[in-house]
Parts: sequence; C-alpha cells; structure tokens
Amino acid sequence: MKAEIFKKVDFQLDMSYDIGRSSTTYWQDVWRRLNKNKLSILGLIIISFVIIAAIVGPFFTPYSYSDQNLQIANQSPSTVHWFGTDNLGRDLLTRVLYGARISLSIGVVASLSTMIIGVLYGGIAGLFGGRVDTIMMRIVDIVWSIPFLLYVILLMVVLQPGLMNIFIALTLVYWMPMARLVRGQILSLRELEYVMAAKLAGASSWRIITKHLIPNSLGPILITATLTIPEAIFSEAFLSYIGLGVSAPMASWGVLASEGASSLRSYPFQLFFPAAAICITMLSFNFIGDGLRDALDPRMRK
Amino acid sequence: MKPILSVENLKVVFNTYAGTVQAVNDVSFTLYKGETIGIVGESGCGKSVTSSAIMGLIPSPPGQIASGRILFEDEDLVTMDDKSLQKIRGNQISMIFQDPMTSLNPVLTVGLQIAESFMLHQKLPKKKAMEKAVEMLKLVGIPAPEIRIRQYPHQMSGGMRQRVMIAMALACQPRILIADEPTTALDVTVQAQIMELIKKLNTEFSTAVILITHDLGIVAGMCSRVLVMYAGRVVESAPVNELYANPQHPYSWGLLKSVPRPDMKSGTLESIAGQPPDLLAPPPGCAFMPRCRFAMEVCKQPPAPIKVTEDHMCRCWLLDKASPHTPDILFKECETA
Amino acid sequence: MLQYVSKRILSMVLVIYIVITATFLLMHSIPGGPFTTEKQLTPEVLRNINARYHLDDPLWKQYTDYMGNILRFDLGPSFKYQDRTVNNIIADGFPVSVQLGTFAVLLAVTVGISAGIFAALRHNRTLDYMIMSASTLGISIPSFILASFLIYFFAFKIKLFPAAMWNGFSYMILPGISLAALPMAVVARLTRSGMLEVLSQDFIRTARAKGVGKRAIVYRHALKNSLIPVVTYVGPMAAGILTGSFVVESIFNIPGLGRHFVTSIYNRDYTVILGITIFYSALIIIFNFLVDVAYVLLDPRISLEKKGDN
Repeated sequence: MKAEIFKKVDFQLDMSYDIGRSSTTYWQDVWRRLNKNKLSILGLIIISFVIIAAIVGPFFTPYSYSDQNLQIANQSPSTVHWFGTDNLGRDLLTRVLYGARISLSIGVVASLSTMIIGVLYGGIAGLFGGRVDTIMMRIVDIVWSIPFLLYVILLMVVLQPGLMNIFIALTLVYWMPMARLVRGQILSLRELEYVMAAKLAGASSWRIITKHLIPNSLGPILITATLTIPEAIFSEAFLSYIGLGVSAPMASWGVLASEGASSLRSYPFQLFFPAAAICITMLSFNFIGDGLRDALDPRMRK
Repeated sequence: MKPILSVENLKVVFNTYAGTVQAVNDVSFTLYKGETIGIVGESGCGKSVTSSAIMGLIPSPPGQIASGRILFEDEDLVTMDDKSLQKIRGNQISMIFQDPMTSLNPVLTVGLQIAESFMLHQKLPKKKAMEKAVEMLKLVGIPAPEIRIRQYPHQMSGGMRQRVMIAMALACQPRILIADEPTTALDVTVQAQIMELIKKLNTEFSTAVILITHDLGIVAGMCSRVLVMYAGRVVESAPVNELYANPQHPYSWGLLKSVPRPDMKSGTLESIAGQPPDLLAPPPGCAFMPRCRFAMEVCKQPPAPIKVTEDHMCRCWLLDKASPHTPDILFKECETA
Repeated sequence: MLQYVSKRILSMVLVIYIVITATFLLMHSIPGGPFTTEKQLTPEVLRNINARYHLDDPLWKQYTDYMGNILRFDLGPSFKYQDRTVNNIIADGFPVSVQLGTFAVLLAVTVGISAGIFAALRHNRTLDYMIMSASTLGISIPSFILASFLIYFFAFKIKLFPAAMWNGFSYMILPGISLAALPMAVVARLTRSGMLEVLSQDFIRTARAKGVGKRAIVYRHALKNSLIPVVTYVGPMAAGILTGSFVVESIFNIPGLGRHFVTSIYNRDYTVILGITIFYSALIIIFNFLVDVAYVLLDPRISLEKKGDN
C-alpha cells in the first residue's frame, strides 16, 4: 500500500450524505397516492362524465322529458330511443338525463349544506369545549338515537313531497356525522403537543386555527363530504320509492326506478337504466371516497 | 467448545419504493452456551434487524435475507421453512421487546399468554399450563402470582409487564434469549431490577443472552462480549473489559466518550457530530468516514476486519500496518481533548 | 354498574319522551287534519268523525290523553282501518319483521366477518381486491334495486326462489339477501381494516416470536381485538335493517311491520304512523343500550363508568 493514501483527509463534516429522495409535501403525496389508486381515478372519470351528461345531455336529445306519445309506449331500447320509452311514451334517455340533474344536485347541495352546518356546529363545540361542548353534543346524542331515514320520512310526511322539501329534510338531518367528526378532530388536535408548542412560540389562537387545526381536519372532512353525496342520492331514491320524493312530472332517478319497478316483469329495461345510473354514480363516489381515505391515511405512507 | 449460534456473513435488505435499503451488511458473530453478548449502536444501525433475522421475523415483503447463514444446532435458520422455525421460536430461542405495554395482547389475561407457550411447545393441557404460568411469575419476582395470572396487561405497571414478557420468553427454558432494548421504555430504577433478573436467569439456566441496546452502561454490567455496529456492519467486537480499556474504532471512542463517567476530567460530554448514513445509498468504503476525525484517503475503500488480539476484531484502516497513526495514541488524544 | 344502568335508563326514558312529543306535534302540524283528503265527506260526517277521535279537542288535551294512553301501552286506534288498533297492527307485523331481520343480521355477520378476515389475510392480493370491490358494490346498490334485480333473475328468469309473500324458509332468502347486502359489506370492511390494524401491532410480533402459528395468531390473538370496531357498528346496523325493511317488505309483499308502516304513510293514517315511529324509536334506543353493555364484555380495558362519561 502506498503511503500517501494514508494521508489524513481534512475533516469537514460532510453533510452531503443527505437523504437521497426529495421530500414531498403532504398534499403532493396525497395526490400522488390518489392517482395510483385506479379505482378512484375510474370513479372520477365516471362522475365527470355523468356531470357533463347531466348538464349538456338534455340539449342534445330531440325529446323533452314530458312529451307523451302513447302510441310508442313501452318500447324496448332502439336506435331511435336509446333507452326505450316509458309507459306514457316518453323517451327514457331524456328522462334519465334530467333525472341526473335532480339527483346530482340533491346529492351535492345536501353534502355542501350539511358540511357547512356540520363544520360550524362541530367546530364551535370543539373549540369552546366545556359546557358548550357538553350541551351541544348531548343534543346530537339524543337526536342520533333514531335512524336518519326515519326522520327524513317523517319530515317528508309533514312537509309534503317536493324538491325543496327534500333539500330541507336532508339538510336538517345529515349534518350530524360531520359535526361529530369535526368536533372529535378539533378536540384531539387541540391536545396535540405541537399545538402547545405553537402556543408557547407565541402563535395567536386564530393562527392556530387556520394553520394547524383546519389543514389537519380537512382530510376527514373532505372524505365525509364526498361520501355524503351517495347517501343523499340514496335517501332521495328511497323516499321516491315509497312515494315521498319529488313530484311529477319532474323525475329524479328514484322516481324513475320506482316507476320502472312496477313493470319489472314485462319491461325490465325501464328499471334497469335508472337503477344503473343510481348504482354507477353511487359506486363512483364511493370509490373516490375510499381512495381519498386511503390516500389521506399517514400510516399507509410506505 | 462449539458455539450454539453462529451468524455468518448475514446480509439483510429491504425493498422499498424508494430503493433497496441495506440494513445488515456482512455481519458475523458466534455465541456460546451461557454467554451474554451485547450489540450496541445507534438507532438504525441494524442491531434489531439482525435479531429479527435470527428469529426469522423479518417482514417478508419488503425485507429479505439476501445472503449468509445462521447456524443453530447445526441447522441453517435462513433456509428453514416457517413451520420448523415456529417450533424453535419461543422454545429454543426467545425474544423480548422494547415496549411491554404494546407488546402484550390487551384482551388476553397475562396467565393465558404465558401458558400459551407451555401449551404450544410442551403440549401441556390448559390447567397444567396455568399452574406452570404461576411458577414462572414467581420466578420473575411478581408477588401474588395466583391473582396476577387472571389480570390483564393494562392492570400492571411497566416493570411488571416486562417481567411478564420475560416469564413468557423463558417458559420453555430456551437456549438463547434475545433482549431487544428491554429497559429503554422503563424508569431507571426498574431498569436495574430487570437487568438483575435477566442476569440471574442467565446464570441459573445457562441461557445465552443477546442484549441489544444503545446504552453502554447496561452492557458493562452484564455482557462478557460486545459487538459495536454501525450502518449495518460490525465495526468492532471484543470482550467487554478489553473494549472499555482498549477501544480501537473511532466510533467506539465516540460512544464511550458520550457516556458520563465519574472520573472524567472535562465537564462537557462529547457527542458524535453528524448524522447516521442513509442506508439507501450507503457510501462506498467506511460508512463512518464522514463523521470521523481521523479519516484518510484510503477510507474511501471498505476496511477489512483486522485482528487486534485473539478475540478482538476491528474494521478500521487506522489499524492497517501501513497506517502512520496508532489508535492508542489517537484515543489518548481524544481523552485529553 | 348499577349507577351507570340507572343513569342510562333515565336518559332513555327522557329521549323516548322527547321523541313521542316531537312526533306528536309533527303529526298534528300537518295542515288540514287526517280526514280532509278523504273522498267527499259531508261536513256532518266530518264533524262526527272528528268528535269520535277527539280531534276537535284542544291540542294540549289531545296530548295529555295520548300520553296517558301510552303509559298504558295503548297507542290508539287506526284512522284507516276502523276495527283495528295500532297495537294490533304492530303485534301482527312485528314478529314477521323480527324473523326476516334476524336472518339478515346472521347472514351479514357471518359472511361479512369471514370475508373481512380473508381479505385481510390476503392483503393487497387478488382476493382482497375482489372482496373490497364486492363490498363497495354492496354499499352502493340500494336495497330496493338489489331486491328488484334478485326478483327478476332468481324468481322470474330462473325460478329458483319465490318472488313474494311469506310462507316458509325459501321465502326469506331473496328478501334476506337484499336486506343483508349493505350491512354485510360494511362488516366486511370493518373486519378487514380492524384485522389489518391489529396484525401490525406489537403484540402480534410477540406472539409470532413465541412460535404461535398463523392460524392461532388470527383466531386467538387478533380476532377479538379486530372485532371491537364491528361491535360498535351493530347499533347502526340494526337501525339500517329496520329502515331497509320498509322497502324490502313492500317489494316482496311480506306482511311485516315495515310494510305496514309504508302503507300507513301512503294512507296518511296518522295514528299508525305515530305509533309505529314511537315503537321503532323505543326499540332502537333499548337495543343501543344493550349493545353498549355487551361492548364492555368484549374489551376488558373499558369500564362502564368510563363509557358513561363520553
């Protein structure tokens, strides 16, 4: 061995042996993981398609949803009527497209309004804590003991069927899971050490709320809001099935399914198309919600 | 005398989405009956992975034993199938873990968890197994064992839970006990009690002990030999007195200097500057080089193990015949710095 | 223990009281009264009917009368069916619904838990994806749509099962599956995630280090721990099966309480609506209480006092 290779090297603390991969921000990582989940991407694609169909679809059909023509009633799907016709001769495809508008808007609006109410209610309960929290959550606990659908049914009996009333009934009931979630999140986050650390470093309460509490609760809130949409669509379909949904001639998917079910034996396609629409939409939202839930779970970070 | 365990050139890797992590890189050592050896090093140096490999508990994706042999009773544990390994685990080779609270099943009684070893390996009926469980609790020094066996882990203190773990591990009188940081999660006073217990059981039953820790103080009181690991390799191994009196590796010096001693001259504790290396892309050559005050050009190549004495090995270029420095002098240099 | 139970009973009574009052007021707030939609009734007849049912009494009197009756477990007469009382209707329909409901619960729990365990053990492999997709399907297909398709395929096309009515075990199968699909899917998911979570815990590592085999690890060490989240779902599951019975019984023409409820809504038979609502509410509240008590038996770390403080 040559002597010079034993020469001493200048001692500098070599910090270049840093971690090789670049660190990603939280939301970048979430998006990356969401993208990897093929099912949720599929869900997103389908939902986008459904939304576009709902908005522009009716402009492209030559029929309106109320044109009756008894002579072509109950026709099976054909090149003229892609989904066939219903018992009054109305084009089923058009009705399904209009139904998409109704069902989707019920889902989205219900989800948004329950999110707002739920976040406010839960946020106030969690932030103030103490007596305010106890009273507010007591109320929720009491109301929670009855199944939601039962409430909605009763409300619809009182309010009478109608689109607006469905919005009201759903909003009055479905905010509770969100409120509970938000309150729970805030309570646990408040106790977390890094909030204490932030406080010690002099951060004001407002800053704590905006920079710590909200970003960390956003994930579960988003998931719950996404999963409320199929629940609302389902509830509306259920109500329509027992006659408490929207009123004729406006037809949501639930109403169409209800009408279709009565002629199941003879004209099964009349149930098939609206039912498929409901199922595919709910399925897609559930896939997205699932994907979000997996993507947001820090433990799954490999 | 034949060793009861012989680890030869063990290499363990983990295949992650960011690349392959070399967790254990060419580790070898031998263990004799009734012997206690300590494996010390920082977090992430590969000491726990080594012990998991011995037990066959490496999570199989993403980890795998890439090469090497682990000889126990003339059989290679690396190539053994899981069913045969199950017969050895908890029976001939046992392991206790760091955190006794999370390491015990919260919904099963303590007695049942100990009795399980008897029922599993010695095929005892439940009643007899529970009786033996009571005996084990007595052995590890838990008062009122008949009552305790019906209790759940959350009803016990940390020290007691660790005793239960030890009872579970020693139930079938294994030849080897692997203790992975057994006292790290406990209070200092309890630490001493647990180490006393392990020592006692080691002498009484001639159970060999592999003690894994980052605490040099514990090692001094208990082990006959020490292995110092860094970045997946054994950088120095020696009998304990020899290591404390005559350490040869700069990392060992760093470790020893960061432990407070009553005869220290200066009032400050020294820490080893820098970070442990990223095992995804381990640097070529000696892994300790970036943090070593005495680094030389030649350290960019991996050092071979060098025999200091018959049972003292060190991987360091400083010991090479051509090296101009002698570790003893450097060590004194460190001492007075 | 006694303290907890009495506290709970008190709050249960309070809640039921609130439910009765609220529903009562709700029913009586419907404009026009129950008989105004009837086919042309002369004012004379209308007055007689109102008198007969005390509908012309001031509200507070109707309320106190009603409450008094409730204490005697009398839920009043049906407005629609002159010779039947609400109690009759409930007594007729409830046993049928209980049969169907119990069948659905058993189906959901046995299949769901097994599926969840298999999915967890084959995590991220084909079987796992299949089971997870099936469970998402189960959650996304409304029970009435599933019921319609089951009838179409298995009763009309392939005449395997009967399409309607209630007359023996084979009549329970299709409605049972329709009711059980959603709970089954949820139970499978909960079991799977619970199992996955438990299998990554330290004490499983300890069990493996003891030499415990795979089977024993799953069934003796992991299962009890992973079923805890499933037990918390039992309450909502019962509620779901209850509301699901409305539609399923209607589709299959099963003479259960759910179908009677739907009929009473359709008929605007307000006493029956009110009565069945109260009955259902009391049922759910008591059931949830029993579940809470049973929950304590599963997890030795929870004591009832702690639960009461939630």
